[in-house]
Amino acid sequence: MSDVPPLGSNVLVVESEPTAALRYAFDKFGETEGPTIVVNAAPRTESVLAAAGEAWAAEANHVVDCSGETADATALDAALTVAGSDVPSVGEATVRALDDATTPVGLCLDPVSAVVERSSIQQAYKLLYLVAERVRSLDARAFYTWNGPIEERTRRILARPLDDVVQLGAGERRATGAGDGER
Amino acid sequence: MCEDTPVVLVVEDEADLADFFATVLRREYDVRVALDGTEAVRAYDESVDVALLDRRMPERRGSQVLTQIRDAPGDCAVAMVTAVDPDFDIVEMGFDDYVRKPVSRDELVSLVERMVRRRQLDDSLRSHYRLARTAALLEAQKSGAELAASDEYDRLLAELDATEQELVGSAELSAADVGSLLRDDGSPE
Repeated sequence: MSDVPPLGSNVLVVESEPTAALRYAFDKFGETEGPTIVVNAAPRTESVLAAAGEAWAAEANHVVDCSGETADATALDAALTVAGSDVPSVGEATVRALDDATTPVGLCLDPVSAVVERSSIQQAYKLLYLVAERVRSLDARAFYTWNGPIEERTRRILARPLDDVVQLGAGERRATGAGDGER
Repeated sequence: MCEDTPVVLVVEDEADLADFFATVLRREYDVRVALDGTEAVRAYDESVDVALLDRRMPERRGSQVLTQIRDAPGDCAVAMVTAVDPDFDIVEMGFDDYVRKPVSRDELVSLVERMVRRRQLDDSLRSHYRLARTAALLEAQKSGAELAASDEYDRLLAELDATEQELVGSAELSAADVGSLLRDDGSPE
């Protein structure tokens, strides 16, 4: 019998394979009812786009495309919103999608690593803080994916406004320092 | 007015309207009034928290004043308060809010309250980030035992908690306010 406590409402999922973290989030959403919002924050290679597209088409109810690329809605069986790729636009579109959902939702912001690449850790931190607070207030659940290697310091900073960190592949799971998953 | 009273700069070329804005806002804020763009640039400094800008003014237009404010030190929140309908030219302006005249007393108070609150949240978020970054640095370098024995680390965590209290209410921001809060503040990493 496992004694691992349930994950908090805001979870950073770290994985080097581009779509594994997204799949992980969808697996977790599958355990509960409710619509799913995916915020696509990265321009992707064709193969990743295809894999992610398959996942979205199968699982997402609402895709918010902040990739900066031309969104292809044909592969999606979901509502599509296109927003700018800058951090304020990502934040505004994410919060609007959360607010527009009528029932508690699952949110996947995929990937945070692209947000940091495009802006700064501080900007990404502010984004995660504001979105995480909104997720808690709406009794929703969110996964924030990180693709690729992550410095320990960066991981700790970004985990602070969240509740848990899951490192896929390594089997690691730990609560963050800020509230230890009880915020 | 105490030192912490937020400073609001009203830039409006209609003297009666400027007077009305100032009268309403003086109850809560330290208000400066400028009747044209030149006066506005002169009246603006780093201590200004919120600027209310008319767009159509003699000499300098509101958009030109806005550019000069953005180029100057400080990072006040700016609302355009104007009779001009928004068009595509607003995309490049970089204001935080856009309100069409006429503006009622309640709308004015609510606008300034919102902008002051947003600025306070932004300051708190930045402090929170700086503390979180310092804590992360220590946590990555030091052992659990070393952290547990450190008074400095204890104080840091207490400060983090205190800043957290200042951020209460951030979940109630509108989506547009979240966007405004996240606009690049240009502060160093």
